[in-house]
This record gives sequence, C-alpha cells and structure tokens, in this order.
Amino acid sequence: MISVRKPDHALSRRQRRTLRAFAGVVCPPDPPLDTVWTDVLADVERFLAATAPGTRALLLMSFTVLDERARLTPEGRGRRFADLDRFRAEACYRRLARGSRRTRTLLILMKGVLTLHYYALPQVEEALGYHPAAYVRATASRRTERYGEQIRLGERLALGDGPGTGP
Amino acid sequence: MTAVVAPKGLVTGDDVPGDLEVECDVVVVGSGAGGATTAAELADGGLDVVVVEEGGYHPTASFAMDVPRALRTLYRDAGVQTAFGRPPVAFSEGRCVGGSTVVNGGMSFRTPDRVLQRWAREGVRAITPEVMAPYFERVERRLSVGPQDPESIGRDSELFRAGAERQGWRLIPNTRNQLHCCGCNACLWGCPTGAKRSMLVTNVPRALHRGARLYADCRVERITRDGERATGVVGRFRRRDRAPGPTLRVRASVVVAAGGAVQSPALLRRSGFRSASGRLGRNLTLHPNARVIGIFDEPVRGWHGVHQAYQVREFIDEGILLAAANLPPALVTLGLPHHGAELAELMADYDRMVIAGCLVEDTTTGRVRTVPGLGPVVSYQLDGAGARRALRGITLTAQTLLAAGARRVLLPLRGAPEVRSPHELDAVLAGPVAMSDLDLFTVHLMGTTRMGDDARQAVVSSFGEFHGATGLYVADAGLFPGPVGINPMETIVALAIRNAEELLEKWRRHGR
Repeated sequence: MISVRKPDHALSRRQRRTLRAFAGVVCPPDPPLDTVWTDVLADVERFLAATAPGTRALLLMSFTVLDERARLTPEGRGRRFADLDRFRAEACYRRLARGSRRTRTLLILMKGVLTLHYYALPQVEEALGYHPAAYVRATASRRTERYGEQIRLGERLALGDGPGTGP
Repeated sequence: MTAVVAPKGLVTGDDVPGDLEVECDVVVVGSGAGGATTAAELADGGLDVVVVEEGGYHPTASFAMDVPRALRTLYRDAGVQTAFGRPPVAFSEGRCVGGSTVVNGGMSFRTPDRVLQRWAREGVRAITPEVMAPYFERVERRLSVGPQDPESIGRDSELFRAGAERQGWRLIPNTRNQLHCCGCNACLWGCPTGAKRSMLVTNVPRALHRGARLYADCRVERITRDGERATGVVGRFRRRDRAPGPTLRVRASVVVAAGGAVQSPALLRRSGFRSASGRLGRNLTLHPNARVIGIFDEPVRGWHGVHQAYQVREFIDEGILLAAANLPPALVTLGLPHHGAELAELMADYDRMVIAGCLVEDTTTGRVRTVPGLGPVVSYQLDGAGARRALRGITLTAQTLLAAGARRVLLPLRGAPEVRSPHELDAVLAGPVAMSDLDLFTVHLMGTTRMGDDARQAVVSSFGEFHGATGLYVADAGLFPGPVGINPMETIVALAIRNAEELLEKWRRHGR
C-alpha cells in the first residue's frame, strides 16, 4: 500500500469544513468562481503553517470553539457552525460579533485570515481593478530606459567599487 | 520551482549536507540594517566575518506582488506577531537575507538632533549631531538616499499633501533609500526592481564582495561562552520543507547580535547573559501606528505611485507624524469590522481609497520576555498619555483626509461609525473612547538592549559592547535609549557604521 505523508500542519477535515463555512460568511457572497474556496483554503493552510506555533494553536482553537459555540445559539439549535446553512451561519456570526470585546477581537482576527487570502487571489484583485504586475513591468522598464546609467553607478557605489565610496 | 542561485559566499539551508564547523574573527547574527552593515564594515576593515541569518535568501528576481507568499517567506511568523496589552499592538518583522529592510517602506531620515541630544544627556558618549553627521553622510551616499523622482509619486500622496496644505500644516517630501524608484508600490513585498536599496542589494553583497560568508536558513540557538567571554554561536539549519537540518557551529573572537529589538534580547537571555542594569529586554518602545482610510469620489489608484511620498511634520514636537501609505486590497481588509456583502461593497471602492496613518512617539515602555516553548513574548501596555496621543494622531489624519475631499472616513476605533464630515468626526470623538478600542500596529521595535556608558542604566556600552561580557556586541534598534520618533532605519545603519569603526579600532589596538 502506498502511504502519502500528510504535510506538517495540514488542516484536518473538520477544520477545513469550519474554515470553509466561515469563509462563506465573512468573504463576499458572490465570488468570481466557485473554485476560489479551494485556493483560499490551500493558501490559509500554508499561511497557518508559517505562523508561530502559539498563534496557529490560538487560531485553530478559535475556529473549533466557534464551530462548537454555534450549537448554543438560537440559530444553531444544537448544530455546529459548519453544519448551518449560509443564512443561519450569517445570523450566528452576527450574534457572536455582538458579544464581548475579546470575542469581537478574535472574530476580526479570524476573519482577517480568510479575507486576506480571498482578496489576494488574482481573479479577485482583477475584479477590483488592481493588477499590479503589469504596472510594475511598465514602470520598471521606464526606469531602466530613463535612468540606466545612474542606476549602474549607484549600484557600484553600494558595493564600494565606485567613485566616492571611501569612508 | 526554479532553483535560486546564491551569490558566492552565501550558503542556504539546502546547500549544507551535514553538520558544519567554521571559524572566523567575527560572527554576526542577523543580516538586516544593523547586521549587514556591521558585516560590511568589518569585512571592509579586513576581518574575517561570518553572518548567520535565520531567514531565507530571496533575490530581487523572485519578488512578485504575491502578498501571502511574501508574508510566508519574507516575514517572521507570516507577519502575525503581537505585543500583548490593552489594546494589543500587532507588529511585523522581516526574516530573510536583508532583514526588515527588504520589507520596509524605504524611508530614510537622519536621527533628529533633539533625539541625539536627549540620548547624549541619557549617558551615551559620542552621539551628538556633529559626531553623527559624517556617518549619516556615508549611509546616504551608499544607500542612495534622496527624494523621489516626481513621476513616481501617486495620487494618494498628492491628495494627502493637498489635505495637509489646506490646513496650513508643514509637510516634507520623504527621503528614501532608493535609486530612481519607479513608484510601483511593492516595497512591503520585496522591491521587484532593486530600486529600494535594502541590505539585500547593498551591504549584504558589499560584505560578500569583501570575503564575508553568509549562512541563510539558520537559526542561532545560542551564543557559546567561556565564562563571560562570547566564543561563537550554535545554530541549526532549516530545510526548504521546514524540516530541521544540520547544525552550524561558529567559533569567533567577537559575536554581534543583530536580530532586532525582539530577537536579540531573547538570544542573549537564552545564552545566559544577564545585565546588571536589569534592563535586558526592557525599555521596549514601538511607535504605535494607526490606520485611517479615506474614500474619495474620484479614482485614486493609490497603488500607482511610491508607497509613501510625504510626511506631515507639523506635529513632530507633539510626537506625531502623519502620512499616506498605500496597501494592497488583501491587507486593507485586515482589522476592518465589515464582512460578507458589506465588505464587498466597501472593497468595490478600493481604487478610490487613500490609506493613511499616524505614527506616535511612545510615552511608555514595554518588555520582551522569553518563555520556554513559546520564544520571545512581547508585552506593551499603552498608558493614558500614549492613548491620547494616538487618538490625536488619528483625529489629525482623519482631518487631513476630509480636507483633501474624502467623502467617507473609516477610523481605527472599534465600534466607531464612518464619518463623512469634520462635524461627524468631532461628534464621534466627543464621546469617551476606550483605550482598548484603539486598533494599533507597528513595524518599529526599539530599545531592549539600550546603550550607555553606565552599566547600572544600560545593557551595552555607548558603542554596543555588552556590559559585563567580553567580545559580545549588539547592533540593531535595541540600542536606542528611547524612541527615535521617525522611521529608524538610517539611525540603525549609522550607529552600526560608528560602532563597527570603534570595534575595528579596538581590534587593531588589542589584536582582537
């Protein structure tokens, strides 16, 4: 039998379901493509793996608590957040966001993890009219054409090879 | 993935097959503003230098406008760090070859005279404006510090400038370490043109050019010692897949800790060094920042133009700076209370936003502790004066945006409504604002290994040598006795040159 090693810090199936449900509430309701959620979750997984162990544990625990906490709300009626339809999940989120200052702060942090990765997707950026790569190419090329010689001189100066580089 | 070819002298974690032992004159921990500069100066002076950097090597050609990737690869802990307090202050540090200079905004200012004079009064020798001037000149020449070319300044900066000028406020064009920066607004994700003269493209190659060796992807676990003498460092490489790699042992006559004001005191503590002053890890200042967003009727396209072009200096004597500094959409969403459809509606106006903010000089200090299993833990409790100052900074920033024509302004105050006029702004601020409702962040961490000649007051000498230890130096923003009140990079680099010069002089006198 071939065994495939699970990458370190991979999200569990349950964590994925919670994050997907949460993303459906905090991110815009009409994403450009349904497949964005796969990309968002993959990016969130990589991001969490790069955070400090304490931060990762806090965030993942917060998602688990949110998932379970939903059971105790009128919207949840015993069901976990991941099992709620979008309408009830939204209502549940709003209720929790009206809670204590600490809960609100934590929800903003959790929301930020999802929206950060949603709004970094190229197709979402494009929809906002934000397409920096082409702009970088154009301005970089203008820079080289206009200032090429001065740039080369400055680069030599930094290495200590140009004129005026003494102490 | 294309393999990255490292320059001569630079070794990455993937290049090292097994445990490694090296010897040198000086080992420098960290390759940011302080570390790379120290390494370049000492290598220039003929010493055999080894630099150990925890982060990876990412050359200019690898930089793209990919925010999540940059957070994961160029920043410590994906850019998510917190100074605990009420309110907490979010902070970020660079972790890559070149350190935070790779991901900062590139502002380069001389230390204000009043700050240098204050530091001199607080027991730092040879720190007057006259003494420091030649060092600033060297920094500015080597890092091409100067004003922006006019075509690189974006509409967001011009609107902010107009708003400040309408109020009659003094404003300066920023000087930046840049070589004809084209204004592509990618400073925080690694400059894709190399125009920003970060350490990655200046003092790191300069040090390598002079024969220094740099080991990347290697976290220094401790400084080795023989009694009170530092004798080198022990570190562990990390593979690209994050798996722990072989160990690195460096034997050196001198160790320079330059990991920044959070990591350096933590490294010194876990290596068993203690300061008689009791201030190792204390005296942390961090320039609390707050972000205010203005939405205009006209298209702004804040991402067409340099990250930050002007600073309002009218309130510098009150310890407040204001500036516009664009961010990509992904980062704008952080901290906003909006979600779902509301967030989509707000973000649809992204191209009409001016993202501005204030930086305030600290009125209190925080602390870096080391907690087993967690590493450095940062705490910072804003005091009443600091909260009032931050609130005033937020008010002034909002007033600037409204004067510039913003039709909606979002304040970094939890639960505060949007404001659409100076009258509405006054109404919001007329009520009490809880300190814990301030939404603060920073990228300037300073002061945890403060310098000064009195070992009862300071952790290191006026030239960075650890009081009570031999062969051990600090070369980062931890040296600052107090907040610098402006962007700190030029101060760090200038101090590193000054202190390296002193170290070289001592080396020549005593043979080490």
